[in-house]
Amino acid sequence: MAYGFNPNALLDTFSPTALKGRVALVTGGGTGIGKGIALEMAKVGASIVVCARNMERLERTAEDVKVMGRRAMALQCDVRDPDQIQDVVNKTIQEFGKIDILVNNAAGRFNIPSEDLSYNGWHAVVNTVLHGSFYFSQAVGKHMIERGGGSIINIIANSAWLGSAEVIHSAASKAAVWNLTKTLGAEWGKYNIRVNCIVPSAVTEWSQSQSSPEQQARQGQRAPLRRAGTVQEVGWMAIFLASDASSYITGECLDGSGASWLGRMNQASQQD
Amino acid sequence: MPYPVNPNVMYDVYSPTALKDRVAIVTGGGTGLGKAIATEFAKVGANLVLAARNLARLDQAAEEIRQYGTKVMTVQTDIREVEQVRNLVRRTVEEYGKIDILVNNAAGRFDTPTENLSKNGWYVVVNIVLNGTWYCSQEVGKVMIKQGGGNIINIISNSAWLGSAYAAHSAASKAGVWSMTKTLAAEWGKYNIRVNAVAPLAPVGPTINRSSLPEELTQGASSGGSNLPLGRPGVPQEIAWAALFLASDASSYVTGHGLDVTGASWLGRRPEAARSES
Repeated sequence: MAYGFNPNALLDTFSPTALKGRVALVTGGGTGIGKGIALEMAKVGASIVVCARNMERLERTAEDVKVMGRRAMALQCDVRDPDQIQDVVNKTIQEFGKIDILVNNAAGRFNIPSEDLSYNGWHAVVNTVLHGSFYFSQAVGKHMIERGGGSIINIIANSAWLGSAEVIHSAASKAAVWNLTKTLGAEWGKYNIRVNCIVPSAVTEWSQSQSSPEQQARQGQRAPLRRAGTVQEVGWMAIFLASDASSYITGECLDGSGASWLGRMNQASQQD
Repeated sequence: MPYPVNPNVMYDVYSPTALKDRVAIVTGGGTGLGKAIATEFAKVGANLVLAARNLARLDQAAEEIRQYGTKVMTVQTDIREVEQVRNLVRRTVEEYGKIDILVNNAAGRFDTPTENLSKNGWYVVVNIVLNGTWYCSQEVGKVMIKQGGGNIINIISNSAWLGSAYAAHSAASKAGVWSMTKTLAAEWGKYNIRVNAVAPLAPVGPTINRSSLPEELTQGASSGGSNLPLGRPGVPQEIAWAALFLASDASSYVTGHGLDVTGASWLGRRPEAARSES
């Protein structure tokens, strides 16, 4: 009996039909966590629409999905622009007839001492993370209300409850998205829409910006589970939240950070 | 219209192999939520050990669960007694050779205004919920450390973070178990042991003595849940499916988490319900 990471966990645990017939729209779907979620959802039957600013990477994700025999579409979109968002929603409905799942994953961050953060720098991140999540949730939400249901999953970070030194804009935005998750969870339940969020592992998140693979591996070794998290594992959490197995879970934040922040607070990992 | 439950989650969503050949101990496994968890686990291939004080109810539950084709053993256990917990662990290892999953579900609660709660009443609940969960976690944890890994799931409730009027002892104990969840997650991660909690909506199960509650509370509780965000209370299977996710390999980077399965019920009532009351 092996414990720990199981590369076959997806189809050991879930049926290949877990998201059969569902259409999932993943923002920031060209790289990292967004791509990981898109691919894992496709493996259990979902059709995938990915959007982001960089078409080249998006198209590669869409190709990877099509190779699995699933339908996919790549759409360029800057989530700071509500018109572009509405355009993505319209094109998705035109092509696939519906949207069952929305994954608000598009984000932006960079490290900077708070006293040096410019007005533009603040707004670039807040617009992408907070406003983008709200605009997308509302645009897709209106469609889901009409259709009679759906599932919205917001990717945040544990900076949402801890703050994050020198990343004030991202942390504040993530905290706001967490709060938005609770509001919509309480409000839209009556429309059969569930709204939840996921905290991926810190290392996986950092992989999108600053750390080299060597740095990630070192950070992982200090974590309670003695390894870094993977984007596949984030995908599996998203599948759970999108599926009918989580039918009484809404307004919740699924902490998939491997207790990394608990380990740091407890200094447990440093004593071994 | 209340949010639907999909009766075919097994096996539209979960594979019949999700917990194949795993051995799971479920305390309080003869009735209610514990029985529902054991049943759902059996449907995806787990072998079970059901533990509780009432052997007759355990044996009856075991009989029903065996229809899914896996092995089910019953061990009469009062988790307040360390020796009985050690016996439970010993019998499980003798029979199955390992313990992959521990579900700390056994609990007890009754409602009473806190100023009337006797020392005995306080202690009974704290002893089962907090101490009992501790004894089981430590005894099973020792086995899991030796065997190279494992998975512990503590059934708490949202009272752990909100408190629970008229159930101070239960809420305090659940909060203690929640803290223990985080401590063990931080400490035992290095042994490949994941430790998480599942929080259904308090109260759960038939242990409530409604006659001791103030009238305004019992009226709200019997509304049928139509004013809850999902239009209804949760069903035990939904809590079991959440526990199943945490027990499975699909949650391999989730540890130290308290999974809220309350349908946002504590976050508020449906807006029109709130408006019509003001």
